[in-house]
Amino acid sequence: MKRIFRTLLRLYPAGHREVLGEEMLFVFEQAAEEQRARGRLTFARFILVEIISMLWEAAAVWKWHRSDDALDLRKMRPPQVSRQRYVTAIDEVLAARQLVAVNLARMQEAIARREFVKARFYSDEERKSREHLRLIHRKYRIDD
Amino acid sequence: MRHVVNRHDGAPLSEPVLLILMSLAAQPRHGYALMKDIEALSDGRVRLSTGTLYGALHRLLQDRWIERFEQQDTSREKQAYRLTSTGRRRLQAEMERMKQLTRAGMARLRSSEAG
Repeated sequence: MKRIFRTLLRLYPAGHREVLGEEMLFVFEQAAEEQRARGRLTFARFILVEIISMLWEAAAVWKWHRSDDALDLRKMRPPQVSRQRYVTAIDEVLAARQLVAVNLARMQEAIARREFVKARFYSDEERKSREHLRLIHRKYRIDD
Repeated sequence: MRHVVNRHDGAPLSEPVLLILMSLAAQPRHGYALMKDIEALSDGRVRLSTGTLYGALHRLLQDRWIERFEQQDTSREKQAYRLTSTGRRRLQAEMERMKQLTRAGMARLRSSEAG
Protein backbone atom coordinates (compact mmCIF):
# COMPACT_ATOMS: atom_id res chain seq x y z
CA MET A 1 0.00 0.00 0.00
CA LYS A 2 2.86 2.31 0.86
CA ARG A 3 4.25 1.87 -2.64
CA ILE A 4 0.94 2.75 -4.25
CA PHE A 5 0.64 5.83 -2.07
CA ARG A 6 4.18 6.89 -2.98
CA THR A 7 3.31 6.49 -6.66
CA LEU A 8 0.21 8.63 -6.20
CA LEU A 9 2.31 11.26 -4.46
CA ARG A 10 4.32 11.63 -7.66
CA LEU A 11 1.25 13.13 -9.26
CA TYR A 12 1.62 16.22 -7.07
CA PRO A 13 3.80 19.26 -7.92
CA ALA A 14 7.38 18.94 -6.68
CA GLY A 15 6.98 21.74 -4.11
CA HIS A 16 3.98 20.07 -2.50
CA ARG A 17 5.69 16.68 -2.53
CA GLU A 18 8.90 17.94 -0.98
CA VAL A 19 7.22 19.84 1.81
CA LEU A 20 4.23 17.63 2.61
CA GLY A 21 4.98 14.27 0.96
CA GLU A 22 6.64 12.43 3.85
CA GLU A 23 4.08 13.77 6.27
CA MET A 24 1.21 12.60 4.04
CA LEU A 25 2.74 9.16 3.83
CA PHE A 26 3.08 9.04 7.60
CA VAL A 27 -0.56 10.06 8.15
CA PHE A 28 -1.75 7.59 5.51
CA GLU A 29 0.13 4.75 7.22
CA GLN A 30 -1.34 5.58 10.60
CA ALA A 31 -4.87 5.83 9.20
CA ALA A 32 -4.39 2.60 7.22
CA GLU A 33 -3.29 0.74 10.34
CA GLU A 34 -6.39 1.91 12.17
CA GLN A 35 -8.75 1.04 9.31
CA ARG A 36 -7.17 -2.37 8.78
CA ALA A 37 -8.10 -3.29 12.33
CA ARG A 38 -11.77 -2.55 11.53
CA GLY A 39 -12.12 -5.34 9.01
CA ARG A 40 -11.51 -6.06 5.34
CA LEU A 41 -14.51 -4.25 3.91
CA THR A 42 -13.79 -1.06 5.86
CA PHE A 43 -10.16 -1.24 4.82
CA ALA A 44 -11.05 -1.75 1.14
CA ARG A 45 -13.40 1.23 1.26
CA PHE A 46 -10.71 3.31 2.97
CA ILE A 47 -8.17 2.46 0.26
CA LEU A 48 -10.62 3.29 -2.49
CA VAL A 49 -11.48 6.67 -0.96
CA GLU A 50 -7.79 7.44 -0.40
CA ILE A 51 -6.88 6.67 -4.01
CA ILE A 52 -9.75 8.70 -5.45
CA SER A 53 -9.07 11.64 -3.16
CA MET A 54 -5.35 11.60 -4.00
CA LEU A 55 -6.15 11.73 -7.72
CA TRP A 56 -8.70 14.47 -7.23
CA GLU A 57 -6.52 16.55 -4.93
CA ALA A 58 -3.42 16.19 -7.11
CA ALA A 59 -5.43 17.70 -9.98
CA ALA A 60 -6.71 20.47 -7.69
CA VAL A 61 -3.23 21.26 -6.37
CA TRP A 62 -1.86 21.42 -9.93
CA LYS A 63 -4.66 23.76 -10.94
CA TRP A 64 -3.91 25.92 -7.95
CA HIS A 65 -0.19 25.66 -8.58
CA ARG A 66 -0.62 27.21 -12.03
CA SER A 67 -2.69 30.13 -10.80
CA ASP A 68 -1.12 33.56 -10.44
CA ASP A 69 -1.29 33.76 -6.66
CA ALA A 70 0.23 30.35 -6.02
CA LEU A 71 3.26 30.35 -3.77
CA ASP A 72 5.87 27.65 -3.87
CA LEU A 73 5.69 25.99 -0.47
CA ARG A 74 9.42 25.36 -0.61
CA LYS A 75 9.98 29.10 -0.51
CA MET A 76 7.89 29.58 2.58
CA ARG A 77 9.75 29.78 5.86
CA PRO A 78 10.71 26.23 6.80
CA PRO A 79 9.41 25.25 10.23
CA GLN A 80 12.89 24.67 11.62
CA VAL A 81 14.05 28.17 10.63
CA SER A 82 13.14 30.93 13.03
CA ARG A 83 11.29 33.98 11.74
CA GLN A 84 14.31 36.15 12.60
CA ARG A 85 16.71 33.91 10.71
CA TYR A 86 14.39 33.75 7.73
CA VAL A 87 14.17 37.55 7.53
CA THR A 88 17.98 37.69 7.56
CA ALA A 89 18.04 35.05 4.82
CA ILE A 90 15.72 37.05 2.61
CA ASP A 91 17.86 40.18 3.04
CA GLU A 92 21.04 38.27 2.27
CA VAL A 93 19.51 36.63 -0.80
CA LEU A 94 18.20 39.92 -2.16
CA ALA A 95 21.55 41.66 -1.63
CA ALA A 96 23.43 38.81 -3.32
CA ARG A 97 21.00 38.76 -6.27
CA GLN A 98 21.40 42.50 -6.67
CA LEU A 99 25.18 42.14 -6.75
CA VAL A 100 24.94 39.53 -9.52
CA ALA A 101 22.66 41.82 -11.54
CA VAL A 102 24.94 44.85 -11.07
CA ASN A 103 28.07 42.94 -12.13
CA LEU A 104 26.28 41.50 -15.15
CA ALA A 105 25.04 44.94 -16.23
CA ARG A 106 28.54 46.43 -15.85
CA MET A 107 30.08 43.64 -17.84
CA GLN A 108 27.58 44.09 -20.67
CA GLU A 109 28.14 47.82 -20.59
CA ALA A 110 31.94 47.34 -20.82
CA ILE A 111 31.52 44.93 -23.75
CA ALA A 112 29.31 47.43 -25.53
CA ARG A 113 32.02 50.07 -25.10
CA ARG A 114 34.68 47.58 -26.21
CA GLU A 115 36.49 47.96 -22.86
CA PHE A 116 37.51 44.34 -22.73
CA VAL A 117 39.83 44.52 -19.71
CA LYS A 118 37.02 46.02 -17.69
CA ALA A 119 34.59 43.48 -19.13
CA ARG A 120 36.84 40.63 -18.04
CA PHE A 121 37.07 42.12 -14.54
CA TYR A 122 33.27 42.34 -14.21
CA SER A 123 32.89 38.90 -15.70
CA ASP A 124 35.08 37.54 -12.86
CA GLU A 125 33.13 39.59 -10.34
CA GLU A 126 29.85 38.30 -11.72
CA ARG A 127 31.07 34.71 -11.46
CA LYS A 128 32.15 35.27 -7.84
CA SER A 129 28.86 36.93 -6.91
CA ARG A 130 26.92 34.06 -8.53
CA GLU A 131 28.92 31.56 -6.48
CA HIS A 132 28.23 33.62 -3.36
CA LEU A 133 24.51 33.55 -4.18
CA ARG A 134 24.63 29.81 -4.70
CA LEU A 135 26.21 29.34 -1.26
CA ILE A 136 23.55 31.50 0.36
CA HIS A 137 20.84 29.48 -1.36
CA ARG A 138 22.42 26.31 -0.07
CA LYS A 139 22.82 27.71 3.43
CA TYR A 140 19.10 28.54 3.64
CA ARG A 141 17.99 25.60 1.49
CA ILE A 142 16.44 27.81 -1.17
CA ASP A 143 15.99 26.48 -4.70
CA ASP A 144 17.47 28.37 -7.62
CA MET B 1 -12.71 15.50 -1.70
CA ARG B 2 -15.02 18.35 -0.94
CA HIS B 3 -13.44 21.61 -1.73
CA VAL B 4 -11.84 23.48 0.21
CA VAL B 5 -10.60 27.04 0.78
CA ASN B 6 -12.80 29.75 -0.57
CA ARG B 7 -10.43 32.61 -1.03
CA HIS B 8 -12.96 35.40 -1.18
CA ASP B 9 -13.13 37.14 2.14
CA GLY B 10 -16.46 36.73 3.79
CA ALA B 11 -17.52 33.80 1.62
CA PRO B 12 -18.58 30.65 3.49
CA LEU B 13 -15.86 28.13 4.21
CA SER B 14 -16.06 24.56 3.06
CA GLU B 15 -16.65 21.95 5.73
CA PRO B 16 -13.12 20.47 5.74
CA VAL B 17 -11.60 23.93 6.08
CA LEU B 18 -14.00 24.95 8.80
CA LEU B 19 -13.29 21.76 10.74
CA ILE B 20 -9.53 22.16 10.36
CA LEU B 21 -9.68 25.74 11.62
CA MET B 22 -11.94 24.72 14.51
CA SER B 23 -9.61 21.92 15.47
CA LEU B 24 -6.56 24.16 15.42
CA ALA B 25 -8.36 26.89 17.36
CA ALA B 26 -8.05 24.81 20.50
CA GLN B 27 -4.41 23.83 20.12
CA PRO B 28 -1.73 23.13 17.51
CA ARG B 29 -1.89 19.64 16.03
CA HIS B 30 -0.06 17.49 13.54
CA GLY B 31 -1.75 15.82 10.55
CA TYR B 32 -3.01 12.60 12.08
CA ALA B 33 -4.15 14.31 15.29
CA LEU B 34 -6.11 16.75 13.12
CA MET B 35 -7.75 13.88 11.27
CA LYS B 36 -8.81 12.23 14.53
CA ASP B 37 -9.98 15.46 16.14
CA ILE B 38 -12.09 16.34 13.09
CA GLU B 39 -13.73 12.93 13.29
CA ALA B 40 -14.52 13.58 16.95
CA LEU B 41 -15.67 17.16 16.32
CA SER B 42 -18.15 16.00 13.70
CA ASP B 43 -19.41 13.08 15.81
CA GLY B 44 -17.82 10.61 13.42
CA ARG B 45 -19.69 12.06 10.42
CA VAL B 46 -16.59 13.45 8.69
CA ARG B 47 -13.45 11.44 8.14
CA LEU B 48 -11.06 13.35 5.95
CA SER B 49 -8.91 11.32 3.62
CA THR B 50 -5.19 12.06 3.52
CA GLY B 51 -5.53 13.74 0.13
CA THR B 52 -8.38 15.99 1.22
CA LEU B 53 -6.69 16.91 4.50
CA TYR B 54 -3.41 17.87 2.85
CA GLY B 55 -5.11 19.58 -0.08
CA ALA B 56 -6.85 21.84 2.43
CA LEU B 57 -3.71 22.30 4.54
CA HIS B 58 -1.75 23.23 1.42
CA ARG B 59 -4.18 26.01 0.55
CA LEU B 60 -4.49 27.19 4.14
CA LEU B 61 -0.69 27.44 4.30
CA GLN B 62 -0.62 29.40 1.09
CA ASP B 63 -3.29 31.78 2.35
CA ARG B 64 -1.34 32.00 5.62
CA TRP B 65 -4.37 31.10 7.70
CA ILE B 66 -2.25 28.42 9.33
CA GLU B 67 1.47 27.87 9.73
CA ARG B 68 3.76 24.95 10.34
CA PHE B 69 6.03 25.16 13.27
CA GLU B 70 8.67 23.21 15.03
CA GLN B 71 7.58 21.25 18.03
CA GLN B 72 10.03 19.65 20.37
CA ASP B 73 10.54 15.94 19.70
CA THR B 74 8.85 16.03 16.31
CA SER B 75 10.22 14.44 13.21
CA ARG B 76 9.94 15.81 9.70
CA GLU B 77 6.92 13.57 9.17
CA LYS B 78 5.14 15.03 12.13
CA GLN B 79 5.13 18.81 11.80
CA ALA B 80 2.52 20.63 13.79
CA TYR B 81 0.13 23.26 12.46
CA ARG B 82 -1.33 26.23 14.25
CA LEU B 83 -3.69 29.06 13.41
CA THR B 84 -2.25 32.42 12.43
CA SER B 85 -3.99 35.59 13.55
CA THR B 86 -5.56 35.84 10.06
CA GLY B 87 -6.88 32.30 10.36
CA ARG B 88 -8.31 32.99 13.80
CA ARG B 89 -10.04 36.15 12.56
CA ARG B 90 -11.47 34.26 9.59
CA LEU B 91 -12.79 31.51 11.86
CA GLN B 92 -14.38 34.06 14.18
CA ALA B 93 -16.06 35.75 11.20
CA GLU B 94 -17.38 32.39 10.03
CA MET B 95 -18.72 31.58 13.49
CA GLU B 96 -20.52 34.94 13.55
CA ARG B 97 -21.97 34.29 10.12
CA MET B 98 -23.25 30.89 11.19
CA LYS B 99 -24.64 32.29 14.43
CA GLN B 100 -26.56 34.94 12.51
CA LEU B 101 -27.92 32.33 10.08
CA THR B 102 -28.96 30.05 12.94
CA ARG B 103 -30.74 32.93 14.71
CA ALA B 104 -32.57 33.91 11.53
CA GLY B 105 -33.51 30.31 10.75
CA MET B 106 -34.77 29.66 14.29
CA ALA B 107 -36.83 32.86 14.20
CA ARG B 108 -38.49 31.75 10.96
CA LEU B 109 -39.23 28.31 12.39
CA ARG B 110 -40.75 29.82 15.52
CA SER B 111 -42.90 32.21 13.55
CA SER B 112 -44.19 29.41 11.30
CA GLU B 113 -44.99 27.26 14.35
CA ALA B 114 -46.80 30.16 16.03
CA GLY B 115 -48.76 31.04 12.89
